[in-house]
Amino acid sequence: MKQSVIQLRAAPPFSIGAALLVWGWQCQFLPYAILMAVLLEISYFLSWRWSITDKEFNTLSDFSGLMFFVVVTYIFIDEGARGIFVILSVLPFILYPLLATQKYSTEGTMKLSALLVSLRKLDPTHSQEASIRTDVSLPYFIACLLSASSGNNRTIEFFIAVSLLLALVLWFVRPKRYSASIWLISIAMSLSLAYGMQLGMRHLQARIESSFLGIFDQFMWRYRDPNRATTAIGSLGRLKLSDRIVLRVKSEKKLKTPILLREASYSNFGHGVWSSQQSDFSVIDQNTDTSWTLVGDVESANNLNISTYMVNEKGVVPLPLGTSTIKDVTAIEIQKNPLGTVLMDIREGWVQYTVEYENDIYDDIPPNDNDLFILDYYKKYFQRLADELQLASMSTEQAIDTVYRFFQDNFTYSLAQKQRYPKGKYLSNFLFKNRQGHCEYFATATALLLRSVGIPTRYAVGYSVDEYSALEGQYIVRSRHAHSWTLVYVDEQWVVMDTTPSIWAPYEQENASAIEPLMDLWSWITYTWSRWQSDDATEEEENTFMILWLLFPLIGILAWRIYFRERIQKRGKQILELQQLNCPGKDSRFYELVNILEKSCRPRQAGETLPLWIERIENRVQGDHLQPALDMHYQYRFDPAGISSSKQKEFHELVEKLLASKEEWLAAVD
Amino acid sequence: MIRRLLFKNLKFVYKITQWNKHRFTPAGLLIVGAMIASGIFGVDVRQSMAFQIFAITASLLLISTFGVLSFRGQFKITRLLPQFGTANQLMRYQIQIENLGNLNQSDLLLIDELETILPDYQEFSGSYDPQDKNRNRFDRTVGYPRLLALIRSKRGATIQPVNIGSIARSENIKLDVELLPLRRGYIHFLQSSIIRSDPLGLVRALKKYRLANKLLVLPKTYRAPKIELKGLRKYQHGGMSLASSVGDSQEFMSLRDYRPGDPLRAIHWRSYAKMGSPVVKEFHDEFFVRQGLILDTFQEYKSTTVFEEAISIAASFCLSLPGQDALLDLIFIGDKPHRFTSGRGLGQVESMLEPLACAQPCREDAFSKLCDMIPEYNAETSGMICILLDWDDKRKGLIESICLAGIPVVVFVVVDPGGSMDLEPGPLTSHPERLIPLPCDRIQSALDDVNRFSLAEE
Repeated sequence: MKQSVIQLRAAPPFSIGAALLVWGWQCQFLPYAILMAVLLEISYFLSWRWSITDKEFNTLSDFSGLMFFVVVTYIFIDEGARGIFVILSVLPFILYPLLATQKYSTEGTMKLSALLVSLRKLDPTHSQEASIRTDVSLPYFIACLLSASSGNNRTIEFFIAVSLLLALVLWFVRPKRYSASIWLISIAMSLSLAYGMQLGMRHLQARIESSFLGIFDQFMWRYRDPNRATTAIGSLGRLKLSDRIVLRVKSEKKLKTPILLREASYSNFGHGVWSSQQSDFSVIDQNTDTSWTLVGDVESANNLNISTYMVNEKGVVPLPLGTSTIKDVTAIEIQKNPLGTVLMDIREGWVQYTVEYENDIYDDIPPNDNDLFILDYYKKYFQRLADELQLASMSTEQAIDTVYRFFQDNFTYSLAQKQRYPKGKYLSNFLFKNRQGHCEYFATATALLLRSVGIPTRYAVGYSVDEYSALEGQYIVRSRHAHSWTLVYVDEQWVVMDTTPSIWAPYEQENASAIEPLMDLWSWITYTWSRWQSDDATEEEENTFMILWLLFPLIGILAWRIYFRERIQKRGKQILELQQLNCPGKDSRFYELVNILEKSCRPRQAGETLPLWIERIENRVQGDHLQPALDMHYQYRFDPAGISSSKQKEFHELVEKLLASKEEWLAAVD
Repeated sequence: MIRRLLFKNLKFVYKITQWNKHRFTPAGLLIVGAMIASGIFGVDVRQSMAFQIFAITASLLLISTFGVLSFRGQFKITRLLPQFGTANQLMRYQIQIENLGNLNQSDLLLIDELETILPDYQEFSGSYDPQDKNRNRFDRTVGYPRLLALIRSKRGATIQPVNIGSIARSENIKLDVELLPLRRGYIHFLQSSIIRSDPLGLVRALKKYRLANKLLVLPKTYRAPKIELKGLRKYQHGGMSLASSVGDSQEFMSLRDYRPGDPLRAIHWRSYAKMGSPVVKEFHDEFFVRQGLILDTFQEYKSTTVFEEAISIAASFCLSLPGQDALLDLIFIGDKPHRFTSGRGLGQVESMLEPLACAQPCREDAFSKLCDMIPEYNAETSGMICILLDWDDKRKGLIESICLAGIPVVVFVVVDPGGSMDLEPGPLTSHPERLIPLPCDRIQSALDDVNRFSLAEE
């Protein structure tokens, strides 16, 4: 039944060396690649080989797997999801020991079970998979090409190199029934097609990106465009934002939550999109190396320490309303637009800054015509509603209060939009029919309703800080905490008006994922690591990280201890069972005598041997048979040579006699 | 519900895998793998240059696919099979190929295919693979290796592809094909495919020829001892011919008048026509040794090892018994009660091996059928050899009834590896040597240790 099947043939001579050189050239590992290629290809000129057993191949494969796991973990912690290309670039290093060993082994191939642990225990006589042998050189060749692609050197040389290498390999496996010219024509056609295809792929991606950038911006990751915010008004189905932590907020004082952190404000609305026409940014003057003042001559009583993840080196940062100063951050440049949106030029990844703010102070420019503008299309609906609420006859404060109560009393919070309406009808449906929606509906409707009676408004987007993490000792803000609200201009100041029912935060919490705590822990670990690596890490953060990393070996030791104890217990149990099995003389009837004596005379003390105990009680029992019986019992029980059948008979008779006459010799007992 | 969905997915994966194996050469599969991997890494063309590898590999496969669209060869294929094969024994058969086309052909591959009936969910969920205990939890839970094992077992054998080499126009060649039967019973051939790959050597063109044949695979056998039980020679009504319940009598003695109770088939119709009243044929009454071989097929648990070994042991005794002057009855319950007789020119041993090769375990509790069947043959049976799968009360009851009928009996109990060899004799207390445990992993040595002389003692 045992058959040895070789699944893959070996790569042609020098093809792997060439692939390694291409990889080294593309990924800046050329010196290593040359060394690795020479070591491999020199094997064709050497006659000696090592005899490597299947078990050794298994060990080596496990080692490569472990190395891969360690590298993946390290790179993911260090680089996040972007690390996938770093992992790809080091793949030839990780797999090299396996290939080199195979190359220098006498067999020249390895069992498939070396690569797949699940096959190792299978019986080769009954399972064909267990006896399959394979050659890893061709997969390694492909891995080298893929790794080389991660170098991302956008030149034509990569295409040429990969084409030549693949053609080289295919030349060696080509069917012999065809002439070389047919093969060459086929290859030439394939590579011409490939060249056109890769050009087409570049163009296709550019087209797709330009069409769907808005969608990606909103749902894939928080990247705020200061000029434009596409709302989900009119989106069918359930709006679901992720539980991912996007901000961390620390305050020395206990916060009166929820606190709103604004990212941007907009003034023009049309067909689900808020935009801003006053988005010219001006550079903020730097006070010191790490401090910028947004609003001068203000004494700010409140401090917040905010950590945010920058997708690009430059991006919008969330700030509490009334921020006067940004400090403790080594930014290259900070800019601000007239609507209060702040752009920070710093670096990618987690950045931390402290803000001083005073809620009463707003530095946004006063309203203009844009802040009163409503598209004609919406005007009739909002005018109608304003008439119903008689807002025109009220003072500004009364109108604001009426609108606030109108939304609070008559509307409910919902993330689902189940019915499709004609374009632009969603807001009228929200106002007059189903009266339910999410924050974007409330903020947009409030802004436009107040505008319809001549009160200037703006639409603000950002986050609501509400959730405190005991694990991190600070507030955390998730993607689902993204929020929008209205800014209303009253008494020459912009004030916040949030008409979204306050139920929204607990409502969103209900939809949290079951694995949220685990994801939070992972997020905290990666955050701590990233902060530890950062130049502006505080001493406290560095200590936290060290404690965190000390935990891993401790957990490992604990796990090992538990496992080892389990093994000791199992082994101990086995020994006990073994002892019970191999205990000649355990059935000795002398033990019956011992039981009787223990009940009648003084019982044995803990650790007291039978001879000592017998000696202690012998003077209290009649007769002198106990000692000889004990000697014979010991021989029967412990003598490795055993006891002769005649002596065994004698011993049994003696014990029987003692048991039969126990009343007599026990009579002497006190 | 989820398990059913998973099962459907597993079947889908299996079909895709098989399709890939047929349609792509090993180099082609590697290129497909490279295309998938580079497609994953190259989704964003700005992040890496993997999209160029994707473009190259996809183009190679596309051009190769065009290269196999026309395969103009014409062939005539004939499969030349032997009469029998033996389970787990590599065997060879021949395939005759005639090139009927106008072109000389070279570098072709022949794949002979067996019929593959994919199992349904009930069959899959009730299947058992002994190798499962050596697999990890994931494989055991998902069950894909189990599905593969079940499909392999249903297919019954593996056949290695054969390189045809070159075959000139109108040439007729014979190729040796290696077949490894994985189980006993019939295996069904479905078709033969002649395969040609494209100029790049990545994709295959197939020419399929439907050739339905079947091959009987006999169970493997052991070297069994010749057991001669000291039973009495028994009266066989109707002589040796009727002993097997088939065929005409060769021991015809005379004619006599019909008596009520005589079987209809004994009526001599020509004499009836002449005489005007029924006349029956009279046969020599014979006395000879007739041994029964009882095979227990009742198995409640899923492991098939014990059952398969029992079949092999039964087949081994069929080959070693009977002697020149004795008959052997093989008795077992399959889909219905079976009794086959061989010896003294009545039937060939092969006629017994075929039902044995096709015997399946009875899962339902119908052991009483066997208990009811055996006493019917007590009167004509000299001795019994029982091959049992267990030694429980039901089986002890059967053996006790045979002993009470005064028939000497030897009982072989097939024991699972690791099972207890210390069997309590029960109804065989007076002859404990006649209860013989056979451990699955040491059947041959246990059979070699059987002392047939002590069994023959009264």
